[in-house]
Amino acid sequence: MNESSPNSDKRNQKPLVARNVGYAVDAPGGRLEIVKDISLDLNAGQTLAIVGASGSGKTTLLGLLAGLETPTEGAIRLAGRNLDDLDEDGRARLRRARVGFVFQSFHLLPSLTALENVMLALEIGRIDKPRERALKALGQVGLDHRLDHYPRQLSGGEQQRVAIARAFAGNPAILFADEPTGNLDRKTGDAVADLLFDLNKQNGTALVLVTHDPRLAERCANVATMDDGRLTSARPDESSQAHGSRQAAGQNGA
Amino acid sequence: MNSAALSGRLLLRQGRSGALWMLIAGLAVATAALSAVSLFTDRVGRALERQAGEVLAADVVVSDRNPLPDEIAARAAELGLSTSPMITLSTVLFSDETSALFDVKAVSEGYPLRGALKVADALDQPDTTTAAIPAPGKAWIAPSGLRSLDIAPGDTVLLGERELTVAKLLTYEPDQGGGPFMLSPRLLVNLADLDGSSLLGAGSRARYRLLAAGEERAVDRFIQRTEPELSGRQRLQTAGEAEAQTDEALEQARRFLAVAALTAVILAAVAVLLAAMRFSRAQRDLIAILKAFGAESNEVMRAISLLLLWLVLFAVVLGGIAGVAGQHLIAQILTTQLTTDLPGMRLQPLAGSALFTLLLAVGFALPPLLSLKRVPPMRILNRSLDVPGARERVAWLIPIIAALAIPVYELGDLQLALLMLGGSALLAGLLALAAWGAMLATRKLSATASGAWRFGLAGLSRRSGASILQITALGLGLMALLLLMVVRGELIGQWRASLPADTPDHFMVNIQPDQADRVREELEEIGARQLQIRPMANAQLTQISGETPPEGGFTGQVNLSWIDRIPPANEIAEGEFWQPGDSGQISVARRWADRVGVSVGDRMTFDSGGREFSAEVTNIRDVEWNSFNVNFFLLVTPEAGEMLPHQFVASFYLPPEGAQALDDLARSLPNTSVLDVGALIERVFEIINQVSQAAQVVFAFTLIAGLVVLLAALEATRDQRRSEAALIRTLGADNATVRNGLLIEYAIMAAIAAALATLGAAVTGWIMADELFGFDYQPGVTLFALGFTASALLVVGAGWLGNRSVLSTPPVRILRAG
Repeated sequence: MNESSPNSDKRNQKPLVARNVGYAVDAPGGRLEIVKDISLDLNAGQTLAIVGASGSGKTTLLGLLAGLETPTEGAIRLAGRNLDDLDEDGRARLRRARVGFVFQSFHLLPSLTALENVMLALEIGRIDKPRERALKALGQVGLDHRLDHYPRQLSGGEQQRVAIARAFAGNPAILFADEPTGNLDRKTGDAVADLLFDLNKQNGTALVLVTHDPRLAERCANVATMDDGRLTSARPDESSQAHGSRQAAGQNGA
Repeated sequence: MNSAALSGRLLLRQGRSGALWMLIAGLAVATAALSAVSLFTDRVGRALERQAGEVLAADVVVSDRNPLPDEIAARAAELGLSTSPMITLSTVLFSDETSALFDVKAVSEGYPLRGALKVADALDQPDTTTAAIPAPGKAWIAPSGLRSLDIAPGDTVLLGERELTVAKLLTYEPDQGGGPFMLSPRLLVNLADLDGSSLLGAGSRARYRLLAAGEERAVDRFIQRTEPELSGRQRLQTAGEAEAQTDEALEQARRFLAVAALTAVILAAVAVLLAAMRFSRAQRDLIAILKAFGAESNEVMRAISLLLLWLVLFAVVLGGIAGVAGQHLIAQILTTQLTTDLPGMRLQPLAGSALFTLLLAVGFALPPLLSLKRVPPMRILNRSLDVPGARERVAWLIPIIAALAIPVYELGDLQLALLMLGGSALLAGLLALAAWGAMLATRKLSATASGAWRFGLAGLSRRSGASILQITALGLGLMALLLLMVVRGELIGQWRASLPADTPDHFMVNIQPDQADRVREELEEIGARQLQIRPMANAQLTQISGETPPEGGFTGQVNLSWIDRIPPANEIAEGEFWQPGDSGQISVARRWADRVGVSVGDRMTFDSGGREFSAEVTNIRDVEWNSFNVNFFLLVTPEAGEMLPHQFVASFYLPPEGAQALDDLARSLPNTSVLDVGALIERVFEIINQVSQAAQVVFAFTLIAGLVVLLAALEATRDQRRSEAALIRTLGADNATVRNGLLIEYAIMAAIAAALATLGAAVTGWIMADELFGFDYQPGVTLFALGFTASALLVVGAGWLGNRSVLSTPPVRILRAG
């Protein structure tokens, strides 16, 4: 564990706590509730899969939990800070080095090399020695021979591995993955998933994974199902609880 | 995060971004057009710059059509001023080979009182400053005069009855006047030589001048005492006034060129806006990622602003280089016309153009980029959540304000700027309307088409907004150039062809009454046709119906003629013309009557050398000035001929074979002058042609700007075309169909743009011909051929360049990425 990272105390706090979170928008037919009354806790290093049909609101939930969007109801505590207290710039600062992302369509910058893509995230995160860390991270994902390649010169699987390296390079407390294997074939997807979970174990990063692939979901310690905006837990676990509103009101604050 | 480094890195790596290059191209074209104009006008401005007082070669000049009273020179001497008398006269000189019209200036000791002359011994010799003036019997001639007379230094010329030796070339005189273009070359002679010729005398068109210079207070006192005494055609001009006139002329020329450059700037601004919108849209993913990783909004904006700054710098350098080249071209074209040598180019004006481009970028590129500040990070997960907010609409005010502000700033004249913007907007609106109509027609066509045609036509109407924009932009640039390059030449050519075959092309003036009959006989003998010989007298208009006539150039000393019946090429508009034998009547040309305020029934009184003469206005005429006959504003009944001193003026057509004989005749009558009107007209057209060519350089930038708009619009619609192409390929269309469909789309766009541009140019030409010259303009094949070829090349070429990728991207990848 790198002591100079802001996450040195991450073992001692829950990376993610959500209470009665809701999100609604104004639609032609009236007010539309996309996310309804969701509460959950995540401990350090834990993995949570959120599954559900498309349109169930799981991507929206992911965005809320990651601080990319503000809930219309409820409260979220991410990496030890209440998101309520922060404006958009504040949340941006919070994300630096504490939150990592892996996306379905990779989202690498096409005009930067693999190495530069990883370094960019570190530079934005104000993390020192970005080049060294980037090299190390790319080594960990097995791409040290592809440092100077541009995304268009990499296969889908390789691009996602660069993205994973980028996500882990800053040693974040929590990592959000949105359909990380969605654009990959089965074999490549499996390899990428392996990498994801390996690194998750090595670094003690909490992982929130949105997917509709049941095999991927199974690899997570906890699985919750989104249905029409509400979350139901499919597999209870002794070290964390994910509550729907029907279960006991959450006493697990951070 | 180092914004500068990030912006720089992002910029350098987006070399393949079409939108980025369009942005740079738009800014570069604007810089190029503006700097070409400002660099050139700066050179001309510096060339025309005079040290204080030099422009008149004196501090003050008094002039008149008659010799000046001695009191004026005496007063000047009393006040301690130096003086130098001078006479200027436009007259024909003869050499052994030929004759030509010259502006003769006869000077005396002391000239020039301010500034200095420069002379050279021969064309290829360097010139030197001199304090001397031509000695009697010698003449100094402008270099272009050598050509006109087909002589070399050392040859002799005939000035009236005086034979003079061309001793030196006059390369510079401080008081040249007449602006940068001169119709006739200069001959500098000694005052004694002109006195001795028979060119002065009653009816001559000489101007007598007295130059005076000295200490400021003395000059002021001289002006104060002399000015109130002036009468008739006497004038007094100070150096300050003359400078202001030159500055004014230069300012007008600058404005003309600036208007031309602004048409390029306006189109470039549209291109910049389009490209910036596209570029901005393309950056949204990037911004969302940056924000997801923790970048704050103002960090993002700093990077974007720096990016824009780099772009502007790069564009300014590119555009500056093109502008320098353009300025050089303009100067080359005008070299033979300009009478002064242009000083070398200096780079200061580029700073102004650079600043301008920066303003253009801020006004048109920044607003679309500003919307990037508020990209929601959620976009990274779901693009559909990213909708432009209502607040961003306000940013559109900035381009509109900039569009208004830029012309006002550049032209320095609100009215002119509004006129220019209004005119361009109107023209663009008309073109867009016509383009829209054409689009509707193609939409109808697409219903009945099949295969590649259907694909192409459908594409055109799907993107009708962009298509109309492209057609309008290209059409504007093309139309401007077609007008200048083709229509101008055709207008001039057809106007001359429209004149009857033996339209008079020579004037002979200063014929004394006792020579009139002989002149008539001899001219007819050498083959002159359409010969008209008319008397001409000079008199002072003293009263109109008992009241003093209004001040102005039309009154005071006027020219009169008389005739016993209505002359050819004249039509009565009001009243009735007199019969042979009538007397005491006067006929007034309508233009003159309107200006001065005279109508049928008024009584006009004239004074000539103390004798009074009056007549009643019995009719008003319309004169066909185009007929090139000798025409007069004022015609009186023939009895005036007995009372008024007069000379005769002749107009005639002479076939080329008679030229030598005419020359001989003119030499034998040294007091007369023969004006080759045909040659004068040639000269005028020569000037018009070269000025148009210079303007063409500037309008070439306009065309390029139109092209950039075209490319930018193509760029903006490229993704759409790609998915369409991919779609029909998956439905089974082969490469050829897709390619032909694209070609058809471009070809139709090109055809519409060409049709509009050529029609627009033809209609404009027709209107000008009708209003200005009164004939029917027939556009020639060249106009349409050139218009369509150019349009086809530009559009199809640009379309090909811009959209190659549409053909080469495999359909599968497109569908997946969608």
